[in-house]
Amino acid sequence: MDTAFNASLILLTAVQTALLFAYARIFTRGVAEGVGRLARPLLVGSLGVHLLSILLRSALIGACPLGTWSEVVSVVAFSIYVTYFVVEVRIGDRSTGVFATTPAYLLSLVSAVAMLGATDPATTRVDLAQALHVVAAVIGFSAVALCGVYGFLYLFLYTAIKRDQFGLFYRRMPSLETLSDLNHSSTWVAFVALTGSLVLGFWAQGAGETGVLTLVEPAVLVTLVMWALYGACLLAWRFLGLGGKRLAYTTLLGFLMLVGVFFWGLFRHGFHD
Amino acid sequence: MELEIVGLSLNHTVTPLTVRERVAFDRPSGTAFLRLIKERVGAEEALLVSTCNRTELYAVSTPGCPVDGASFAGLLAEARAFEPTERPRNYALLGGEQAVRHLFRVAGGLESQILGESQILGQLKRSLDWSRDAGTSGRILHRLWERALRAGKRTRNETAIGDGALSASYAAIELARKIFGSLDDVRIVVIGAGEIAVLALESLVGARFGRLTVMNRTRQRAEDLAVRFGGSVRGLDEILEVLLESDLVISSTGAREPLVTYDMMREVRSRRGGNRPLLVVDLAMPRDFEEQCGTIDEVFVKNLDDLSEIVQNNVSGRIDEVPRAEAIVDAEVRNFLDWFRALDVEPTIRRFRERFHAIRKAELEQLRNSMDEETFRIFDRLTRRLVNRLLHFPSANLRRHPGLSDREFIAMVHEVLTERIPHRSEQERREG
Repeated sequence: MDTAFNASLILLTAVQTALLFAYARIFTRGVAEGVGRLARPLLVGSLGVHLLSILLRSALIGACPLGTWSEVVSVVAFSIYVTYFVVEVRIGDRSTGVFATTPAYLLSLVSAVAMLGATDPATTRVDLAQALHVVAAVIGFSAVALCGVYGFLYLFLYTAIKRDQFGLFYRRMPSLETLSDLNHSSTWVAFVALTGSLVLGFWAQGAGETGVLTLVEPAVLVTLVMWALYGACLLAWRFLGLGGKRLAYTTLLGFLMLVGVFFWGLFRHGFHD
Repeated sequence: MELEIVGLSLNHTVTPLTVRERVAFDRPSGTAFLRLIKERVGAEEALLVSTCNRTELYAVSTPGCPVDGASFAGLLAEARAFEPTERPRNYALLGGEQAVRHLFRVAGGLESQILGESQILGQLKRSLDWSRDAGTSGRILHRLWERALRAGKRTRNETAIGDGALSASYAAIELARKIFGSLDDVRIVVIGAGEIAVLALESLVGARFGRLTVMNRTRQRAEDLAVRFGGSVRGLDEILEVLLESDLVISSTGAREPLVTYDMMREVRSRRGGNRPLLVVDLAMPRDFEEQCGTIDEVFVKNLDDLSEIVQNNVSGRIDEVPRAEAIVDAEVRNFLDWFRALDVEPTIRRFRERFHAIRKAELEQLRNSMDEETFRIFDRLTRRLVNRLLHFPSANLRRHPGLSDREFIAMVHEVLTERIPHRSEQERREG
């Protein structure tokens, strides 16, 4: 089982590297040709291998693979790939693929390296309430990461147009409006999922199923701030027509907070105190 | 004379416009010209391409009816009533692989005046209809056209040779699409009603957009444009109100002072609210919008120089794609030539198959009386299948053999497989 799991991680890294290369090719060439044509099969293949590795991990530890930081990161990466897959199928545009999947690729790589190195897998048991809480958080954080990517792309294209830089990036990117819409859609997903995660987290705590959580715990506090920020963005979009650049800046800020939470967890070997 | 594709090309690189405009054809005259070629030259297969940049004729020269491009030039001069002194001399004669490659490059947009433009594909399809009307469409040129169109589609689908606008007015529309995505709900204002405004509005023809407002110092001219392009008219004194309700502004007045100052634009920006961007394409000289307007958040102000930069970048992008488009054309030319050259060995293959089957039948006939009818039929089926299977391999190999471009090789194969070469002693006896 151990060997099969390690092999799946190596295969996953290889497929995801090829996928990243395929998306980079599509971006630089402007059309899906050569290895770029393989992007969709590689994306589907990487999702399959990723799911397999999660299932193998689950079988290996005999529990939901959300007990360690590297396991959670792996599921976050998987969730970003799935979210991006849905977005790609919906808008039919692969030009942002290289940007949208790079964070997921890096997360997946980090978790694969961490899990390959761990000869004795952690066996922290995760009960149902915790599992739901973590899954909601994972989806929320994945959407926050995608928001960050789209916010960054929006600002980059905005600046390119302002400064008359009409090169490759200008030619290959979708419109500012599309990037703003994608950002808005991802913001919705992030807000709903973070709401669910917070409610489930506090419910689980109230039911005495987790340790004692306080609002001043950095990870919880940052998540609450992110949740409020994204909620405010949605209200501003709906009632004040504020999107575009301001939404991009806000979601980029949310993404930076997520990076902070990530490193906090990495440093503390866990999300909560 | 062997089976060959020949062509005559009068195009923008070799033929002056004064000649090109006289040899341009429409459907009736093009069909009539193809019929004339069939009657006078005897060409069974001929196709004519006529666009604003080129008039080209392709035909198949066969051993029974050899034709060449030069004879088409004479007919063209005659059909278009050129005086002997003014007959076109600047044209390209094409033959064999060169003719095929030229057509494939034309289809791929590599020979177009605007590199990578895609109108040529429609024009090539149209020319196929003309040849059908004239009865000059045949198996070889039909296949040639089909493959050329395939090459053209591949170059545009698999490379970015057709990407990006190549004129200032289209670059402005491209920029608007890059900002707003679809133009469906984009509110457009055109300030000025001169030639540039007309050009800008013409580039919008066919595009769907939200609403059009025309503003001009002389109201009558604004109304003329509004009627022509389907918009409404507002006076220049309402410019601030109009800007509040606009997304794309195209300005090209002859005013000596800016119509919109930085302070006015700041006011517009603050009163618009939200984050809806405003794109101003200032094509006026001197400019209608103060330069600093472009520094305001969510306001993009672009002038002719900026649009030229977009065009230059697009041109460079297309030029970068040329080697990849040429590789596609090369591959498609090779595919077509493989098929075309195999046509030369078809008579040989047919003949040697006939010979083998004749031998089979003769041998079978000798056994007819020694078996009943049913057994004979079984043997007939069996031997036919056997001979077909035995000949399949050499036939397929012959069609694909690289030596097909060599006439001597084909003659040798023909002789070996279909002729009876006398024994040496027999030859010596004859010679002696």
